[in-house]
Amino acid sequence: MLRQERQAGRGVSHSDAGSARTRVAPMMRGQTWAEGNRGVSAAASAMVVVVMAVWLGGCIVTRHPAGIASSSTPLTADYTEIGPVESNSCASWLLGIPLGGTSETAVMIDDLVKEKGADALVGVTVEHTGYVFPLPLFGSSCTTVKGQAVRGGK
Amino acid sequence: MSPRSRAADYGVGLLGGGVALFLGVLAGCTTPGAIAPSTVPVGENFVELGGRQTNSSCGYTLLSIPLKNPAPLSTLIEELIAGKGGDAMIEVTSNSSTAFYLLGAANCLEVQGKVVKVGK
Repeated sequence: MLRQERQAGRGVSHSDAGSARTRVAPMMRGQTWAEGNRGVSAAASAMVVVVMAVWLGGCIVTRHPAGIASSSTPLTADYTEIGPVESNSCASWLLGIPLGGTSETAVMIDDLVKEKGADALVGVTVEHTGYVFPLPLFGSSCTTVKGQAVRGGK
Repeated sequence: MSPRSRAADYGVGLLGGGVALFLGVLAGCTTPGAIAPSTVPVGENFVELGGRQTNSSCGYTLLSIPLKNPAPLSTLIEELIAGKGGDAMIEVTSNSSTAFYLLGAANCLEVQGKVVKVGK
């Protein structure tokens, strides 16, 4: 009887240990018990693979306000704006091993001032942004300095 | 299993899920950010355009896939100033917060301050 039910693929099997019934995966008529379960486990495996692929292929981004300053050096309100400036510097790591990169904030500000032939920056914001890629456990930590290059005001 | 005990199991499952979700939401933290007397040199000749204003932006990830990134700090400040028709902000404070949910996370930036019009 047990063998007949399994072969008929009714989706219900009797425990060999006794009369307790165990629910198993629904099966199509003509399918064996093993074939029915194989379909369900294949679907579950596919779902796990998709979820893992999505998770591993993603990237976590965090942003943090590291600094706000009216100017990079003490200034009066009597200055002339040259234009907006922006600098970005990143340090990366792979499997926890630093790959180098990044500049100090002071160096970034000095470079921006020199680049525009300015005396200082006003409206300065410094921001830290972190990127983490689960695959291949790669991450990057970036500092962004933004502001307006100005002349005068000293 | 009787229908009654099955319903009880569902109830326990729902309660457990609710507690997990609550704890997941609680697993967040706020980090203090930068402060500044003003966003640009304003001297003493300025007029406040209203009280303390707040602007924030959040980024969300689901299963580590970024759905939306938070706006840059400079953009939040510019939006506040433009929204009030001012020139700068004074008494500026900022912070960021991160909250982890069951399947994702939220990272938010917040800027507070008073928008001012600077006299020429």
